Amino acid sequence: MTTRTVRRSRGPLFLLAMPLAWSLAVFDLFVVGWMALSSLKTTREVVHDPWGLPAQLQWGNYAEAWTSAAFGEGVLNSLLLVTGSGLGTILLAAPAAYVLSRFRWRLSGPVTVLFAMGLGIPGPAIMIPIYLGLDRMGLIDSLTGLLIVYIATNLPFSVFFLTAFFASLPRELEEAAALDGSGPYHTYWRVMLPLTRSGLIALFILQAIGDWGETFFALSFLREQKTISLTLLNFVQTMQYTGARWSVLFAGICIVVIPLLLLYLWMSSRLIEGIAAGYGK
Amino acid sequence: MKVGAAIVAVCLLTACGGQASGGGDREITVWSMWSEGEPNQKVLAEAAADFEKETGVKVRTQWKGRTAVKTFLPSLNTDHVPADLVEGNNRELTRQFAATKAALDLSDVYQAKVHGEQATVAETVGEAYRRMATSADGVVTQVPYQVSTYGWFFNGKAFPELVTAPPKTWEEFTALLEAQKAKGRKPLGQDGSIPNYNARYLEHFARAIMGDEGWHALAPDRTGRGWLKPEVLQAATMVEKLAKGGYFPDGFNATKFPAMQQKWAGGESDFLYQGTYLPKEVAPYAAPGFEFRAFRFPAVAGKTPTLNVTTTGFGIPKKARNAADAKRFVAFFLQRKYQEKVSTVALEMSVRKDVPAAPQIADLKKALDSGEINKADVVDSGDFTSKVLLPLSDQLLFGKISAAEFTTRMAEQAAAYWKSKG
Amino acid sequence: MAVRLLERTPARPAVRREGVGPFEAARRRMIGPFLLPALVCYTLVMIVPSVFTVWISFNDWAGAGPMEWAGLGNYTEMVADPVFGRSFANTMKILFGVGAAVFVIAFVLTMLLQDMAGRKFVRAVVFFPSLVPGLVIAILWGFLLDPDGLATSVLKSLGVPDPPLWLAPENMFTTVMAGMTWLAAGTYTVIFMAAADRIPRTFYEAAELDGASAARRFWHITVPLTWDVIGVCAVLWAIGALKTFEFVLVFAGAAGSLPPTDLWTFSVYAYAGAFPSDGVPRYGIASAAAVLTMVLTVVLTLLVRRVMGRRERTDY
Repeated sequence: MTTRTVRRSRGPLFLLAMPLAWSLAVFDLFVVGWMALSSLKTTREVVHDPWGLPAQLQWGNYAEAWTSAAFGEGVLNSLLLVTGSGLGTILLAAPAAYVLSRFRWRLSGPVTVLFAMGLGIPGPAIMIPIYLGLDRMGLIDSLTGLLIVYIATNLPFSVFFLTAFFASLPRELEEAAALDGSGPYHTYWRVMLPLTRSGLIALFILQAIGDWGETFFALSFLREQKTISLTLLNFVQTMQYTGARWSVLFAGICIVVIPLLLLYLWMSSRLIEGIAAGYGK
Repeated sequence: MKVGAAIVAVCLLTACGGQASGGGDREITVWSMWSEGEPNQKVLAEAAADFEKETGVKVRTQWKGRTAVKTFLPSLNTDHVPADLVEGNNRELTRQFAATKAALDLSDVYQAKVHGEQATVAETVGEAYRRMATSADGVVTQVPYQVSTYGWFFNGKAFPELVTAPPKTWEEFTALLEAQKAKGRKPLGQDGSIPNYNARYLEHFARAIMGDEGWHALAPDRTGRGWLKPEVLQAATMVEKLAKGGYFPDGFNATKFPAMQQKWAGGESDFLYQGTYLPKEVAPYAAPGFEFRAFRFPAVAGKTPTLNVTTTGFGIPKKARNAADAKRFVAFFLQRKYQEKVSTVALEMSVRKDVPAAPQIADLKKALDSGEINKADVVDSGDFTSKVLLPLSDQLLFGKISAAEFTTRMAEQAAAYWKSKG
Repeated sequence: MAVRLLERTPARPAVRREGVGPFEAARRRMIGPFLLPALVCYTLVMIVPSVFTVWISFNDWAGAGPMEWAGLGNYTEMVADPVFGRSFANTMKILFGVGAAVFVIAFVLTMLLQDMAGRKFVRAVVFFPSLVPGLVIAILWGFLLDPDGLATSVLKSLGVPDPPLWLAPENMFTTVMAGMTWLAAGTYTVIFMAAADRIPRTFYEAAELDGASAARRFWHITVPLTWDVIGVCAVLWAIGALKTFEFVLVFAGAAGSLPPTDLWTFSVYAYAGAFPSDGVPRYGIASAAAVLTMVLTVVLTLLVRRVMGRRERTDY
C-alpha cells in the first residue's frame, strides 16, 4: 500500500478512530515496558514508586530469578513441548480441517460440530479421566504424555480455526490443479496448504502462547519434570509467602515472557512475508 | 524428547549405583506443601537429610507448593500413588483427603514415641490439635507439627505501651481506635477485597457472644431461623458500628490484595487483624525500624473469643508403599531440634508447648498452649460460607446494609440455600 | 500460480456439480487418512473423558474413592442455587457485552490498520497483552487502579474531582469486563488481519478507483471475504466466554481464596465445586456445570453456524 492511496482514502470515521488505535497501542507498549522496567528496579521502588524510573538498573534481579527459580530445565522442556505440540497439532489438524471444509460428505457437518464441542470441554472437568488413562500407559510425569494431552486439547480450536481458512479458498484452485493432472494429495500439499500459510503460522503462535503458559495440566500430570510455567508458578508462590520481592518476580516473569515476545515478532514478520509470497506482490 | 530420555537414563543409573553401595532399598517419598527456597522448606529438608543418615531410609522430597494435596488426590484412583507422605493443612487432610477414603488412620503414630524422646506423639501434639486432625467419620488423617492463628498486628515502635499492656476488651480497643482517629489516622488496615478477611470481625464477635458451638450451629441450620437470634443481631450491630465508625482507610475495599496489608506495613494504618504468617509476607514493605507485635482479639461482652487455628502436618495414603517408614519420619520430625527451627528459622509456631514462638507472636502462642482454641471449627461449611455468608458479610462491613437487614437476609438466604440442596 | 489467482474471482459457484468422477473418488479415499489421526487422538483424550464427566455429574464424588449415585440431584441443586443464577448472568454479560465490544474494536482496528502508516508496528503491539501472563496484568491493574494509583491521579490532574473507585465491589465486574475486552481485542484484531491480508490487493485498488471510502471497502470487500473467519471467531469468542475463569480468578482472588460470588462466572462456579478452598471437593456438581457448558457450546456453535452459514451453504 502506498502513501498516495492512504491519503486519498481518509474519511471522518477514519480520523475519529485513529486515536483509538494509537492509544491502544501506546497502552499495550506501556504495559510491556512497565513490566520490563519493574524487573530492573528494587522492590521498594516497585511498590512505593511504581511509575518512576529506577535509580539504578538492577540487573542482578535476573541473575537472582534465574538461579533461585532454576528456570534452566523448565525452559528446555517447554521448548520441546511447545515445538512438538505446535507441529503435532498442525500435522493432525490441517488435514482434518481440509477434508471437513472442502469435501462435501454426509458426516462433515456433525464431525465439525463434534470437534467444536471440544472447545467447550473445561480442562479441569476431564483432568481425572485423562490422569487415569496416562497412568495406565505409564505416561505420568512424562513429557510425551503431556505432549499428547496438549496436542489433543489443541485440536478442537485448531480444526475449527483452519476449517475457516480452507473454506474461504476459491474452489477453482482445486479444479485447476486437477486439470493440471495433480492428484488430491498433491493438490493438498502443493496448492492448498501453502495458501493457508498465514493461518498456520497464526495458529502455531496461538498454540505456542497457550502451551508455554499452560499450568493446570502440567501441574496435574508432571511430578519431577518441570515446565517453565511450573517453575514460574513455584517461584511466584515462594515469593508470595516469603514477602514478594516484586522486582525479582518481574525479572522471572520477563524471563518467561520475552522468548514469547521474540517468537511473536519473528513469526509475525514471517507471516507478512508469507502473505507477500502467496500473492506475488 | 531425547534429552529428557537421557536425563531419565542418567537418573536411573545413579539410583542403581546408590542402591548397590548403600545396601538398603528402603525409601519414602514426601510431597511437601513448601516451595523450594521457603524457610519452612529448609527446615524440612534438613530433617529429611538427618533421617536418612540416622535410619538409612532414603527420603525423596518433592517441593510441590501449596497445591500438594490437590495435585495428589487424582493419583489415589490408581495403583501408583506417588508419595508415602503428603503435607497439608488440617482442612485439606481431614476433608479433601479423608473424603477419598484412601487416607490411612494414623492413631498408631499418636501412640508412638517422638524419636529419641520420652513423650508420645499424642502428648507432644496435644488433644486439641489431634481433634482437628480427625475427619468427620473419625479417621485421624493428619499429624500436625505447626500451627497458625490470627492476631491484631501493630508496630511495637509506634505503640510501645501496647507491647506490655494490650487492650483487654473491645471497648478499650475501640477507645484506642477513637484516639487514633482523633489524630487524623485511619487506624484499621483491611484488605476488603478478600471476603474471608471481611467476615472475621463478625465471626469473632459472634463466637464471643454466643460461644463457638452457638456460632457453628448457625450454618447447618436448615430453617435459617438461627440467624434471627438476638446474639447474631448484637454481633452484626458491632460490625455495623465498625463499618460506620470511619476506622478503615478510604477505598479499603477498592484495592487489590495485598495492597492494604502492604500499606499497613508502610505505616498508613495502625492495626491489622491477620494470620501469624503476616510478618514474613510484608517484611519487605515495612517502614524502617518496624517492630512486629501482635495481641489477641479482645474480650467482647466480657468474653474473649477463642483462637481460630490452622494446623500443618502430614498424612499417609493407604496405598503408600512404605507406610512404616513414613510414620517413623513423622515421629522423627516432631523432635524438639526441628520444632525449634520451625520457630526460629521458619518464624512459625510449633505444636509443641515447650517450643516458644518468636517474640512478635509469643502472646498468641501462650494462649494456644493454654488450649483456648475454637473447638467447634471442625464442621465443614465451606460451600455455605462462600455462597451465603461471605457476600452478605461483605455488604455489612462495607456499610451497604444494616445489622437488621443482614440478619433477615441471612435467614432468608440460608433457608433458600438449604432448600436448593433438596 | 500467483498471477492466475489474481485473475480469479474468489466468490464461489452457488451450484455444486453432482456425480463422482475419478477425481472425486480419489478425494473420497482421502477422507480416512486425513481425518482419522486427529479424530482418534481427540476422541481418546477429550471425548471419552467427557463421557466419564457426564457420568460423574449424576453422582456425588470427592475426586477419588467411593461414588454415590445422586441422579439429577446435582442438576436440580445447581439450578436452584442463586449463586449459579448470578454466575450465569455474569457469563452472559461477558458473552454478549464484552463480545460486542471486542468485535467492534477489532473491526475498527482491522479497517484502520489496512491503510494506516505503521500498521506492522501497531499490529505487533496490540497482540502483546495476550503474551503477558494474567498474573502480571493483575498486579499491574492493582497498581494502576488503586485509589492512590496512576489512573486516579491522572484523572484528578485532568480536573475530575471524584474519580471512580475502579476496584470497589460495585464496579469490580465492570472493571473485569473492561480488562477482558482489552485483552481479547488485540488477539481478534490479529486474526481478522491475517484473514483480511489474504484478500488480493487488486480488489481494494479497484474499489479505490471507484472512489469507495475505507469504511465502504471494509464492509463490501473485507467483511464478506473474511466471513468464514469472522464466524469462527464468533464461535471461539462465545465458547471462550463460557469458559471465562482464569482472568476472574487471578484478578479478584487471592492465594487460596475464591473471588467474591458477585464476580463468579459459570466456570468459576464449576471450579469452586471441584477445588474448594476448604471443604470436600464436589466433583458431581462441578461436572454438572461442565456438562452444561458442553451443551451450551454445541447450541452456540450450531446457532452461529446457522447465522453465519449463509455463505457456507452456497459452497459446493
